[in-house]
Amino acid sequence: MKIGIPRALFYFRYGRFWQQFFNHLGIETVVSPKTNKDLLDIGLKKVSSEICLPIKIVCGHLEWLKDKVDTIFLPRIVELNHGLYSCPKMIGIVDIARMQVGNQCQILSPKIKNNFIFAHFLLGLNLTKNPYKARKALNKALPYLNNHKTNVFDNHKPKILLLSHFYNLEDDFIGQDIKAAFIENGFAITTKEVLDQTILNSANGFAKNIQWIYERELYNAFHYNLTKVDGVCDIISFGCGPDSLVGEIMNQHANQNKVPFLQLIIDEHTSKTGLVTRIEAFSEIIKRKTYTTDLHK
Amino acid sequence: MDAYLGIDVGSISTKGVVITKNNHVIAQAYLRTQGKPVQAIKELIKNLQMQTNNTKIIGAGTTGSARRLAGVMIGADVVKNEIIAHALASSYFHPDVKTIIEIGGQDSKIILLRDGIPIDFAMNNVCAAGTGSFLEHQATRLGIPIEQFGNYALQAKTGVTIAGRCTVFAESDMVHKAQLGISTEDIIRGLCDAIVRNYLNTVAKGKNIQPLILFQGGVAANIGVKTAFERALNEQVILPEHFLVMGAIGAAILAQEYVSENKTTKFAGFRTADIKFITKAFECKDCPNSCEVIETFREGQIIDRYGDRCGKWSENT
Repeated sequence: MKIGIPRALFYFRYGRFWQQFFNHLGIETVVSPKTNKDLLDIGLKKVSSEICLPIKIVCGHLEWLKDKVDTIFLPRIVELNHGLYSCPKMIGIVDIARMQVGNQCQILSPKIKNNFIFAHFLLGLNLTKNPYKARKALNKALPYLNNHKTNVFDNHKPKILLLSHFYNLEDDFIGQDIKAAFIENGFAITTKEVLDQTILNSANGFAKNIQWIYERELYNAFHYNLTKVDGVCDIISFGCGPDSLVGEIMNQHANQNKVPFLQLIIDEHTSKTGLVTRIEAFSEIIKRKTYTTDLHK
Repeated sequence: MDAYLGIDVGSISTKGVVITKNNHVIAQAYLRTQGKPVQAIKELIKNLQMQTNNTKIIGAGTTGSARRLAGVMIGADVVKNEIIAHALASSYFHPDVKTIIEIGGQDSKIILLRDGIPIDFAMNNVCAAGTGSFLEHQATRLGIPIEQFGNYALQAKTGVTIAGRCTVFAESDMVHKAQLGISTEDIIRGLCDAIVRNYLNTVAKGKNIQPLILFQGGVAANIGVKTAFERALNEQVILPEHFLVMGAIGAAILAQEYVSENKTTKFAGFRTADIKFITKAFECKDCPNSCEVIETFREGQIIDRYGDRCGKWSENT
């Protein structure tokens, strides 16, 4: 058995955990290469044009994997932490994958509903028929669930919070140009991925109203950083319903707190030039703002 | 006399100004880019040179969508985006400005300022409905010179509703309304209202529009759109004296800022107009990203290269 894992969507949070888990079960894994234009173009031809960019990207990865492995691993993450739901497209991606590559390979998709760890134990048991082995593999892999990212801040630089889902920002094909543009304009970058899960999942204040897992993370990261950064840049994939709602709330809260806020909307037509123009102007606004507040001190 | 040059190369038009150190405009030019920015920049420079005989350019800046190309061609000291350029020029001429509405050939933006400093902006994101090139297309279709388009709207007796969300649908709507027998004047006023509605709903959405409101960019020349804004906002909308070339003035002011700090200029002189420039593009096939790399040559010598994700082309120039 050879299991393929698309380097897209959930991979950017659970990928290392999954690789460790399968390896300790004694199963060979293949991870698709980093997203590039070819993979995206293949994905575009396979999926509805109305869907968001990260889903189009994952479809390209499925296409790459389908004849290199016999099974593709794509869990159906429905609910985490009781009452926190995944987005409908992510729940439905398993069905999209079955339609797309289901006649060429198996789709292994454990349903995860408030039982992330136990669901993986059951999966291991199913694959090996050996509860001891399944448990051991799980224990070996669990440490890889934690984020190991840390901020390296240069205190002389203005700080920017880049807010977006991990599957956007951590995918270099989407995130690299944006990060590079901010760094070039002299900023230190922080993201939500460096924060602890207890902060990200907190149900304090407004966050308790948000019932999408990753939207709550965005809002909590925003709220936590609001007084710590010089500006916030929210990156939304075109067509993302939850993002458009939470993005607007954050925009309003940022305005009330006088924190510069920039929203970038991305899809496969987004040009680097357009992004760079907006980021450059936004950087200038932050710098000129700091300059004058210093003057009034 | 010492002066500063500012150039704003947009999708539809190329603008240039020469200003004194007191930001007094001593020469300005506005011409069509016509898809040939290199040619347009050369003509612009020639034009400005003829207008300014006894001046010495001691700093130059570029802005607009072709700011990079214009920057390498003339040897600009600053190459800055049009948002900052517009904000700087506007707050110089109108220190009380709080909102700038700028509609150009293919993009539209809103800039909010407080105490003369830009604090927020937005640009049209995934759609360019209701920008200059669409208005121009409609004017051509109706056989009306674009300069008089706005006056037609003023003669309207009543407004009709035109769908402004998409230009293709807007056009179908205009054709349909004409077939119902509605006058051209009323339809044009309806179109102006639709452009304003679309702008307020998609570009300026949620932004706090406060007076003083300035309207600039090519579309500001259309009196019909200006009055439609005034109707929708219930506020006076002001056209600055140099509304067509505000971006270029901003670029010149930025050049002035730069030169006063650095005491030197990279400006290549007006002879740029006589030098042969070529731009080429190729698709790099070294990895699956297939980046489109843009190259600029001066008299056969490569002077600029950009567009690659990895930087291996742009770093080697």
